Amino acid sequence: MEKVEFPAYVPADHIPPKPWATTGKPKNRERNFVTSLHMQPEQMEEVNIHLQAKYAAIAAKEVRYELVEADDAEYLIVAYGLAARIAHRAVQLARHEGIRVGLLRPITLWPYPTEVLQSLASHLHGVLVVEMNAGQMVEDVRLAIEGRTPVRFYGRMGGVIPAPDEVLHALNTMVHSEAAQPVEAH
Amino acid sequence: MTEAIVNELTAEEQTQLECVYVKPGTLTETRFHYCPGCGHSVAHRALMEVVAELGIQESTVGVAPVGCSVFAYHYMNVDMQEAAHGRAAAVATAVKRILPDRYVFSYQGDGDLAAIGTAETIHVCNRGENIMMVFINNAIYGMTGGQMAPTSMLGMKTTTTPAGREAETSGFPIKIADMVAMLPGVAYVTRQSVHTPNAVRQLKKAFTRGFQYQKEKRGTCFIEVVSNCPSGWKMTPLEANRWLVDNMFPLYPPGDIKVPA
Repeated sequence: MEKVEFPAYVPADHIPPKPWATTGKPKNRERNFVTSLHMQPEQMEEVNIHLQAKYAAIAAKEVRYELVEADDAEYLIVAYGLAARIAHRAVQLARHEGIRVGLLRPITLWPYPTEVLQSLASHLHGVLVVEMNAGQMVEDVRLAIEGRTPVRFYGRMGGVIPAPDEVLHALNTMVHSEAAQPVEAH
Repeated sequence: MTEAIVNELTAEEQTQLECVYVKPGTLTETRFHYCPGCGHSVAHRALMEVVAELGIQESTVGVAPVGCSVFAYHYMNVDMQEAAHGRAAAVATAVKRILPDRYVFSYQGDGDLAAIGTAETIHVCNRGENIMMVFINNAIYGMTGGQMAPTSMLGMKTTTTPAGREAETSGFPIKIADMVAMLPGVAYVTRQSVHTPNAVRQLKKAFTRGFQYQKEKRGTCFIEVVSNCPSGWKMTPLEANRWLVDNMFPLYPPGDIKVPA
């Protein structure tokens, strides 16, 4: 899990100038007003285009994830947060049993680590998504995998914390199922 | 238009002209989009005239509402922030705390300040934030089509109370100025109007006092402006101003509610 990192203190007079700030209008500049509302469609679209470029830059630069034991993996568990810790232990247990399984732990859910999933997908026999809900991220995984390999889901709800052996059982069920049968969720 | 009239005069006549009334530099050149007779234009101008008279244009920051006057920053020639619906006073709190030597005001209608923003309104006043809150009360939601507001009078017909507001189903009109006056952090509460020239003069005095008390760090100043909505009330501007006197003043009488000692 990620620890909170506090950046070094920056004195107020060292931060970049903010010419747009509403600090009171001096005589030598037009007034500043901060708004997100533009009634002219063309003007509003300009703002939208600017925001889309911003989102694209974030998507290109800010993807974060952790890959565990993925080099030789035939199977991959995708899980985040608490479920990822449990899945990590399940990966260790599965490796002990000889199952070549890795873990992808997305640290950012947006932008999503789509590219790494896509690069791994063609080598995999299956992907198991583990979440503590009825399946929210599983849709992102399926969008990334695009049918290249089966995607199964195992989830517990209501705050029930799954045990590592439950996840291992779900993994085993997927590994041993020749047909594409969904893993039963509790 | 004024220039055209002046140009028709002879050179000698022009030299005799004396300028007695101009648009203050604290209003932009943008034309008001408000309906004919709407009190917003008058209240905007009164507020900005006071800013000009006090010479505080460079040190004033305003926070615009959501509602008919959402574009207040297109007319008021001071630095301004837009706030989410109901949150103008909360944003004004932030501006004032970061820039304590600036004059900070929020400007909201009754739906904004007394319905969706009730929590922010009460707690800003309870903290005694050193800002001036301008509260335009026309007893109706103007922009969205004349629905009942928290301040609508009992019996008042609106699009959502076509038979008139009933206390049993819609509760009672909130006298929020009287409510915040109870709070110790609030220094100055007054209720003014914009329906006559004299009322506008009184309103300007109230704005002047509000800014003065802010300079003296007295606490929150809350200025209610009893206003109209000719379009929402389905009246001519003149009828609306008469209706205001007959129907709003009995519940919302003009005058000071709380003044600093």
